[in-house]
Amino acid sequence: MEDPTGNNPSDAPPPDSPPEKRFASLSLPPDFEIQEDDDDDEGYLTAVSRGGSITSATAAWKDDLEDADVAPPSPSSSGYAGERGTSLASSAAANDDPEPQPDDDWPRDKKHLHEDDTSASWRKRKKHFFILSNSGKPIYSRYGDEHKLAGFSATLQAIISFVENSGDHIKFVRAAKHQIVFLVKGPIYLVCISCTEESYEGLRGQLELMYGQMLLILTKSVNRCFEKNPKFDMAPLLGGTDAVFLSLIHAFSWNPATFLHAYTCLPLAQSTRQAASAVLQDIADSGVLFALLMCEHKVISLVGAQKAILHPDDIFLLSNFILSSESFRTSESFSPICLPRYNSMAFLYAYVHFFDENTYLTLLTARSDAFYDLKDSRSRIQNVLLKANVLVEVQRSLRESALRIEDLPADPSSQSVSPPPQFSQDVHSQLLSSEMAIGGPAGLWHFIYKSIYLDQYVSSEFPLIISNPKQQKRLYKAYQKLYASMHDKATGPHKTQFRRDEDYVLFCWITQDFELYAAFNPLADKSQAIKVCNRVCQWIRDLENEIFVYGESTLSW
Amino acid sequence: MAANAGNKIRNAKLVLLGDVGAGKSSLVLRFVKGQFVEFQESTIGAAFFSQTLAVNDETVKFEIWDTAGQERYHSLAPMYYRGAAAAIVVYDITNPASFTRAKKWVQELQAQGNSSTVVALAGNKADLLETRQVQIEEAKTYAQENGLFFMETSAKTAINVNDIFYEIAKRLLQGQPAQNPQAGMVLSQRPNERLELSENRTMPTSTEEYGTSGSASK
Amino acid sequence: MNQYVNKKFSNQYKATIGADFLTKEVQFEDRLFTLQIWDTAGQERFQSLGVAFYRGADCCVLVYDVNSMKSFDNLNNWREEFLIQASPSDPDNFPFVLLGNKVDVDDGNSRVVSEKKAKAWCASKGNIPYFETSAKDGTNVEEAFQCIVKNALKNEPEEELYVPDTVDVVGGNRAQRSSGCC
Repeated sequence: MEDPTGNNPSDAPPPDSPPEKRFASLSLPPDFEIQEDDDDDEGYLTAVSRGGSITSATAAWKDDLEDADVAPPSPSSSGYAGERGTSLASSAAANDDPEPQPDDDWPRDKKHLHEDDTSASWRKRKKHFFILSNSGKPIYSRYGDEHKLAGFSATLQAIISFVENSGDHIKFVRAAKHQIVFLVKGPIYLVCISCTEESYEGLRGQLELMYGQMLLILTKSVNRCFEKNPKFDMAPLLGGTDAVFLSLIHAFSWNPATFLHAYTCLPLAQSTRQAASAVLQDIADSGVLFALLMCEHKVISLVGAQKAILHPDDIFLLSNFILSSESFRTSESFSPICLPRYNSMAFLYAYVHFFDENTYLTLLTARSDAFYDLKDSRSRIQNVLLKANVLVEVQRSLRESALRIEDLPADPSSQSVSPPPQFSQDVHSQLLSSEMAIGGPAGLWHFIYKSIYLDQYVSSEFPLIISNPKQQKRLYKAYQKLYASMHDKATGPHKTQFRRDEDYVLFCWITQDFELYAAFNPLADKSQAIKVCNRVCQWIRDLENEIFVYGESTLSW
Repeated sequence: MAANAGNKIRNAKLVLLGDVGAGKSSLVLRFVKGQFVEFQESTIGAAFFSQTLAVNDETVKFEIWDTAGQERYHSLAPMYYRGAAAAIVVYDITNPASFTRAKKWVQELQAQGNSSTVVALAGNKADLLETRQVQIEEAKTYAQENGLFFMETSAKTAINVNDIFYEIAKRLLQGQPAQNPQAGMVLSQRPNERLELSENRTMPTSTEEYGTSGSASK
Repeated sequence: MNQYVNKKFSNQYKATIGADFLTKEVQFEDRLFTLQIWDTAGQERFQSLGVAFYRGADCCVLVYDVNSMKSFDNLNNWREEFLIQASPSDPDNFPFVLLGNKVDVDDGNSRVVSEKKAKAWCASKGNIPYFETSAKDGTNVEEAFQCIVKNALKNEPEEELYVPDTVDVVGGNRAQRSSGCC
């Protein structure tokens, strides 16, 4: 293997702000700034773990109910009003039960419906997402009640149209610590306002996924509604999907699929995966467009009909949609969904069935009358999975088979298992070596490996030193930046990057076949780090049959 | 409710229609699983359940489509109610807009022109008498004029929930064999196979599903 | 303090992009409506704001100062500008409302535009509803908003069913995946 020591031109951090459109004359008010309590989405629970909090949600709901009573929303949004209003009514009736404290993890509460653009708390939030129509009508806001944000929404539309009037397009605005990123998709405008120091490309990619998620729920047919009626109020069409967007936004800070545009597989013995793939393949041959067996956000097996190709972003958006909607876990279902990268114009139908708490089958078809066929297919698949013990293996893999950097095989050339002595002269060497023991060899803390051919990635478990969610988020943000700078069209693409800051040494290496992102102890030695990266790549190659899904056996393309 | 061995089991496709938040899913979950949660999450597309019900010496196996009330799915509703033997149109007695919406669903079903479909009107959340906004007389009159049968139900207290399904089953069995053996009682998709399948099985009292009650609503 | 910040905030928008933006909730016939108000700058000096700015407006409220003849004379310009830029499908029936503001100033002694004159102008433009208001003491403001909602609703199209397409497997025009294949 080629040793990537030949050094890179991009040691310097990439410019933070691409030299595009600036909008210097606008500034945000002084209190529109960083809030100290770090995260907007820490404490968020997925639908899986939310099951127990159902009763405690009532208390948190009271505020919203009052809102709904006093303020039924705008003319055409009866669906929205109905939903909120009725839920309030029933929770009010439940008051005789002694209720526990409001549960902050409840997604409706996380939206902070009582807030609007005049609330200090709203202004201090670190990352806002908005969707609005090109006439300025609010469609979605991460925080606050969309109706009350009508004025703010108009402001965003006016900024976009002001720039449009001069024959230009606005991409982003920088205002002190804030970055405002715009994405125009026909009649739909998406805006992110953030002080998280993420790159423009990164935030824009997140807006693209927001748009994709919206298309998955509605298709591009919404554009026709705006052609017929520019005043069209789209918000009611997204009724009941707040949890989907909430979970998507949360994924931006923990799921590498959102910036790598690749999916990850659940590690399984080759024979186990083959058993699953074989039965899915049978089904796909009988008129199913795509069959996916997944565990949480990890793919167990996927199969497509001839020539049908599933984009990793579609896999991500589909699994986010399914995992964030409690409805799918209650019973088997048959629902229209759109895969934006496959065909953004039209709905497919998804048969979804959960075999257990986290393992689910999705069968996609273009036939609206296919439900009973798919239901039968599912029971065939289920029989095979049970016979081959696949579901048990899946649970075991979930518990056990993580890639741990401590397990990285020793360098066959030097039989020494102990970390190289590069820090021996350091006064703190004692301390450092104990720290390194927590991580892997040469101070390796974590890595992500993406196979370019397969559009798949694997990442290692977080070591103890990066065990809390805040630290993990910080590392992912660093990876995202690294990804953006490696793929920067203006200065790149680059083959390697070695970067040292106070938190980590980050190393990225891109070849024709793979992209490797690795994080080391901030004092790690460069040449040692590079050697370890070579070992990681070898290790992945040794394990590839278990950690990747292979086209030859499972995919028809 | 148990189906005795040797009983004839009849399949009946049943669809629930109604506004967002009227309580369609809650009615089904009360009937199928005997459960109720205060905050029921919005249904996506349509959820499928089955449940058997013994009426005298016959057994009806309901194949239930619990549709989403969300506006974005309205135009796709026919794929769920097409060929249904029975429909329950649900509204919330505390929400007049949901009653208006229920009438629209009734109209739509009538326009489909399958007169053998048994249509029930359910005024749900009947436990919330203090906030009632749709009067029982008004709904009763409307139901009479439109040939529906009407009950006020409460998924929360279980009042009239089993009863409404029982009543539908009874009417299906009464009306069925004489009239149209194809359209109402049997599912439109591959009717013969469906019928065969269930006659060969001994039905448990609850759902036939494996692992459906997973983590969700306990 | 918050008030002050907000004011500063919005004034900057007004100077930069030509409008201030407000949200107001109005109760009308048992329903609550959220009005999104684009309060444009430039009562003194006429300037075009462009097509995108007016897109999807439900109602256009024209305001003049009863103490300023110039502001009254400018109404024609503003109305024309709106109709040209917004190009509503039925311009003759597009809902306008005219407000004669500042009637409280100097107890009406400095008034230069008579109610009669204003009403005549409204009649000539297809019976635009007219209100004399005082933003200061709130005279007629609530009534004017009621009328605005009523007029905006008049033109509300019938609620249409959302009818998305479904994939046709045989003749599908599929999106191609951009990244590499296996």
